[in-house]
Amino acid sequence: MTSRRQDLISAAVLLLAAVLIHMQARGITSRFKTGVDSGFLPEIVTAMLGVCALAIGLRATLGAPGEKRRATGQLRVLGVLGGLVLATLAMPVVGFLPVAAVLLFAQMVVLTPRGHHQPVFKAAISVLMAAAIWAVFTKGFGLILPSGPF
Amino acid sequence: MQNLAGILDVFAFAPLLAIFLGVTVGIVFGSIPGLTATMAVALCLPMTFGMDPVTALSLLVGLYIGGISGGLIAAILINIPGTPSSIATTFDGFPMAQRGEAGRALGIAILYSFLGTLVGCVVLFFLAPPLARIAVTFGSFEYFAISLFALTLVAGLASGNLLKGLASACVGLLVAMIGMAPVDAYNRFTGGFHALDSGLSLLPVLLGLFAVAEVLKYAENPTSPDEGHAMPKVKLGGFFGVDARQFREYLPNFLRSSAIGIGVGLLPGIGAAASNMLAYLAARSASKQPDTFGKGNPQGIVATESANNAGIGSAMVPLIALGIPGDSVTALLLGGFLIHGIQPGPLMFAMNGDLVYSVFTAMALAAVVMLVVEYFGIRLFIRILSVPKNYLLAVVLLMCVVGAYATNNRMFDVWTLVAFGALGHVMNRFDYPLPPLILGFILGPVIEENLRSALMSSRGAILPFFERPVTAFFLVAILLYVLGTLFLGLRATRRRKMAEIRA
Repeated sequence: MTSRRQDLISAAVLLLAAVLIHMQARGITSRFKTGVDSGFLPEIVTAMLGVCALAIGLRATLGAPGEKRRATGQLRVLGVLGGLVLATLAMPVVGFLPVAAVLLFAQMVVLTPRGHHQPVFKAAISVLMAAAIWAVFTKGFGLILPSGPF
Repeated sequence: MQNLAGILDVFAFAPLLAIFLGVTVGIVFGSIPGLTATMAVALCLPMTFGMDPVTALSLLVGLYIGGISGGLIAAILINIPGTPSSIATTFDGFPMAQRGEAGRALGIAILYSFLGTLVGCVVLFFLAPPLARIAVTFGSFEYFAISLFALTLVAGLASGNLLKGLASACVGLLVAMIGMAPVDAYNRFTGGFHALDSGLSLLPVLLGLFAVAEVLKYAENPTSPDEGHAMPKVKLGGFFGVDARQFREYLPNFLRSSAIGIGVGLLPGIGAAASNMLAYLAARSASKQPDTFGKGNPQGIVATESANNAGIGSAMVPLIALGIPGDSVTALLLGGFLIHGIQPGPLMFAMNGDLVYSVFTAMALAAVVMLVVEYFGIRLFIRILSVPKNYLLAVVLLMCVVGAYATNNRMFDVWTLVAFGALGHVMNRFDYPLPPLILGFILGPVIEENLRSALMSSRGAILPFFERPVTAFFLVAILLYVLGTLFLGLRATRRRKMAEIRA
């Protein structure tokens, strides 16, 4: 994807968001005679966001295509995000400690380039680190982390 | 008397330990490329929940100072700046290391980091109280204008692209508007989702944007664990590699660079990344042997390390005196104050005067600790540099989850963390700067509350904004800055096109 295309896509998304939020802000009922209600600043900010989006889009349309950027490692990015989402879903059910150990292991694996995996070592480190973090936060700082069924 | 009590509060076991740990962890974060002082402060914020304010702020200040200074280690030894504030340190630090003077380069950098930090502390000590006394007279009009000025400047300077910076700031402002509005407590933009009624919590947003997004950036192109950097031999000897004659010789450069660091630190949005470059260029211009710069001239290290560390104290001036942060780290520090129910600003001197002096003292002590820890622990930090980043970042990610959850003990904040991590990643990929978003999020309530109060007191009239000198000055400055930047951008584009046509 070229930088011009990126700018056009982002401008379109921002413009759409600005329009939608602006419409919602306009729907806020005014409670003050001056008109300075809770929709006042959102209306101004969304208008400004719309103008910025238009200007970014216009500049991208008129400007040079820019260099082509290769989207590398996006699967790995999705892996990290997916792992986080799964951990967030599982944590209230299973509890912090097992989810933390699995999350650490999964992230260490995902963040390692091909051919450098040492699964046993990573698993050991994950369990130790998860236990250490759990101990520091619950015993040291008195925080209550999800305990799960245990 | 109150000042003395505040100073003495820091000399207890817990704050001293917090400073030591903060500086050490900060140096570790600063020394590893990809981990920053901002990330260190963001990750350690949840740890401060159970601490008293003096200990908590001592820890955060230690992290800030250690984080900025730690960047010099990687810059000198492996030619990769640990933080953006040490970019120019690589120019002369690495050549010195290559010719077998790594120990001397590190010694000089550590000494002038310390001296620069002290200069910044002195500026903070003498400048913040009078500024706060002036700021006490400010009302809604002034606060609105100053906050807007800070946000606009950060938007323009964070990436060099004003339009994208402004768009990012607008997104930050809109995110801050989710939940109950100030003044009339109107519930807006929640979509009927009650978890959003009180708005988004600061910490999950910060951790998502600064830590998770950074991990995702690394995930795009992870480095091989075998890509270890060959470390030059480090032998620290003598007094930080500087004798009395050299100290006198470096003094004008140190003073000039510190002044640049202070000036840049006071202004919102520019940051230590620019100050070290500016100081380096100024030192080279003033030198009688400019050709030696970039080839291992110690004056280059003196300039960059004095400037970036002097900026720490001055960056704290607007935060403490006005309650307005000028960059990402001070925005996080503001979060640290707010978590403990302390509102920085002019009234802080009256209501928490002792705490202000505790912060000043903690900064000065952190500078001393940084000098000692960095000097004597340099071999340890060099070893940490070789720990594979995939291990470190996986731990960072888990710490983010814990930090987000600990904010309110609810999973909703972890979802916020994930969402803002993804948003931060997308913004990074599309070249939208993150600092304006975060500053917009933090300053949003301040801007809205003051704008609405001001407009209500003026019955909706705009003219009173221009009848007050401070407000008028900042509003005109915003206008001139925006128009000037757009004009210069258009002129540069036109010139480039003309040159292309001629070619």
